[in-house]
Amino acid sequence: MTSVVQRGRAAAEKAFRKVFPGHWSFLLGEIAMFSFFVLVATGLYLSLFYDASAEIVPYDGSYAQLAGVSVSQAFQSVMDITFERPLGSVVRQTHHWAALVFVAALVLHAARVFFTGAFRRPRRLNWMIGVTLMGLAMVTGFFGLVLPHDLLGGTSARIGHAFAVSVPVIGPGVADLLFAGPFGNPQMLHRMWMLHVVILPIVIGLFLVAHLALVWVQTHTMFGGNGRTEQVVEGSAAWPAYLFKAGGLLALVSGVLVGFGALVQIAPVWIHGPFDPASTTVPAQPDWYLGWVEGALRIFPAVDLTVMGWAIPSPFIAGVAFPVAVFAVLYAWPLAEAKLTGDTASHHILDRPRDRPVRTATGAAGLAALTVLLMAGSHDWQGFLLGASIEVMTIAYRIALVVVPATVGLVTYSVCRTLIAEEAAADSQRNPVGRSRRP
Amino acid sequence: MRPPMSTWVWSVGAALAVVAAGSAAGLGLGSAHVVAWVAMALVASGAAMGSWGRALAGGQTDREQRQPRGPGSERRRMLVWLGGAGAGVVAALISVPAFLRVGAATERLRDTGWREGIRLVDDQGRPILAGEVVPGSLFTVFPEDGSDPAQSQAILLGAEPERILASEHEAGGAPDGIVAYSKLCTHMACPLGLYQEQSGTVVCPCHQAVFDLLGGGEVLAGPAKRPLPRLPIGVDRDGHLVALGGFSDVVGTGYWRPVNGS
Repeated sequence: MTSVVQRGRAAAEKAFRKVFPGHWSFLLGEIAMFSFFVLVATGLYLSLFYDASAEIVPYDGSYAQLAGVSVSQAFQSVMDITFERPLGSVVRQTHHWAALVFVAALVLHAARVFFTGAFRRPRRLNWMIGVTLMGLAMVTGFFGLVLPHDLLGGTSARIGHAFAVSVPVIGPGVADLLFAGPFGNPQMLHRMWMLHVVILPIVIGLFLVAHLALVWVQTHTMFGGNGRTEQVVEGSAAWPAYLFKAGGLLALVSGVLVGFGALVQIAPVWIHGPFDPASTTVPAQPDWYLGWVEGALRIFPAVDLTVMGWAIPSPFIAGVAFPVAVFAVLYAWPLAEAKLTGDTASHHILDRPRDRPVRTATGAAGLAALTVLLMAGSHDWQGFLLGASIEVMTIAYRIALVVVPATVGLVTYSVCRTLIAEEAAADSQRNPVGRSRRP
Repeated sequence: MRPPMSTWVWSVGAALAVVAAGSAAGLGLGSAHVVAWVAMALVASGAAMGSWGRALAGGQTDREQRQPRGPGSERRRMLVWLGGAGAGVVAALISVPAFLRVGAATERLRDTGWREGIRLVDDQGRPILAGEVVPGSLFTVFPEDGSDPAQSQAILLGAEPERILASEHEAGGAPDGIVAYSKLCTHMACPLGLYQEQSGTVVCPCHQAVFDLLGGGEVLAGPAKRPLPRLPIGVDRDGHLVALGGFSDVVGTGYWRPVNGS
């Protein structure tokens, strides 16, 4: 008996001594994780009152403008959460804000890992787990947009259905599975609800645990300099310093999200109104993290494509092939880079972005392209504000999609080169023997 | 180790914010006030805790030896195998049932419920007289039996007969000056809107495809490429508009289909 206790004690003491390097950019992943905690907590509360039924009832809640209007049970229950339940509105808005921050933190975290080369061996598998988490977060968020069954959510579902039918050959079957029949089947919400509330959060949770377990086993990366070596991790021990900092960040993230939930209106379903299969909202935009696909759907040229005797539906390239390609590049990057540079060694010391000009420039150009597409996702509204026609806006964004990433890539590359050259010059001045500042 | 001044300031601030949140709740202030104070208390406590974490580290650096790991090819191969198997299982769980139902699902996509002789009704379920559809009028219509409004919805347009492409009349046998098309954009299947009478065009609010309702439903601009499927219409004995059959093509996005054949 004592030996078990002793062993447990020893394990705990060892865990407490685990060292975590500190850098502000390492907090991005933690912010993502804590946003996920907030999502689960607020989501549990919402799930108590949500009703995934598409049965049409007259609205009978306290929001007078919709009194007596025909709405679905699902919409009614979301209105009920918003207007009748204690703190319902705050919890719902916090949930939505947390989703936006969750994906934003994931993307920034992935960018940090990318630009510092933290994805290199031995962390290539963990990079792929992270990319999977990012994709899962976006898909889960999409189903979350559908659930309120307001006009925007119903339009999102329509577009989701169009994605599904555009899948090569088995598309109609995929759509049939996801939407419980052709679009408009009342069973649809049950499927989306099961995916959004049970299946995908559990899958995200499992991948998150695997991600953290690998970070624990493989130890965290850190920046070099100050005599740091690949063999020793330097930072703060798990207990007390690191846990205090992480706990503090958890409180901070929850505080900011609850603050936004309480004070800043988001997803006003009562303004969108209930779903009507023959209407669409104008302007209609999805949440920000789907904006890059939305932009691609708007500005990619319509081409009449026939592949091996199959006529291809128009959203296929922008809506299916393009996002799949983006994720394929993300998955493959660590392997491709190792192959191209011949560097297959393990690395625990991070790169400074400037020291890898090609990777940094490529990443910057990629982010620039996605940002252009994200902005193109609301080009009708921008055209309205600028007084430009939609055709002009589309052409402008097509040009921008080529010019902006190319410029960003070239400028980034030359900035990296300049920084390296300046450092080398400063080094040789200080140390004429010619020893480089960095190994 | 002495925590710096800022740690104490944050701690006192956090304590005050917690007390304020508690008092706001106790005084029965509106929930938005209470929640705003709770948020503030959380932020201040977070800052205080982080500050204490820093202070507890006391500027000292902890070190840990990284365990040198061998090539581990055995374990890696196993992980890759497991990952691949997992992805394969998920792909199979989706694609096999999807594949098995492609035929039936395609049939359901094609059949929107329009049949010969079904009357056209507006969103209130009211049948439409051919005489009502004067030039410049526009209706959203559904089959009278109420089947599948999400897929069957159509735009019914009245225009001066000479403005409508002649071939439309021949093709549909439609009454003079009346045409009907699927209301679903052939890009992402959003319901069309924003009818402009002068040009006889509709725009999709989702991704701004433009269709020519007077010219056979052809795409004029934007990301769509297939023309809008036409609904053949006629007039029954009472003068009401009826369908003469289903849409001329699959509505909305469509799907991958062999060029020769359905």
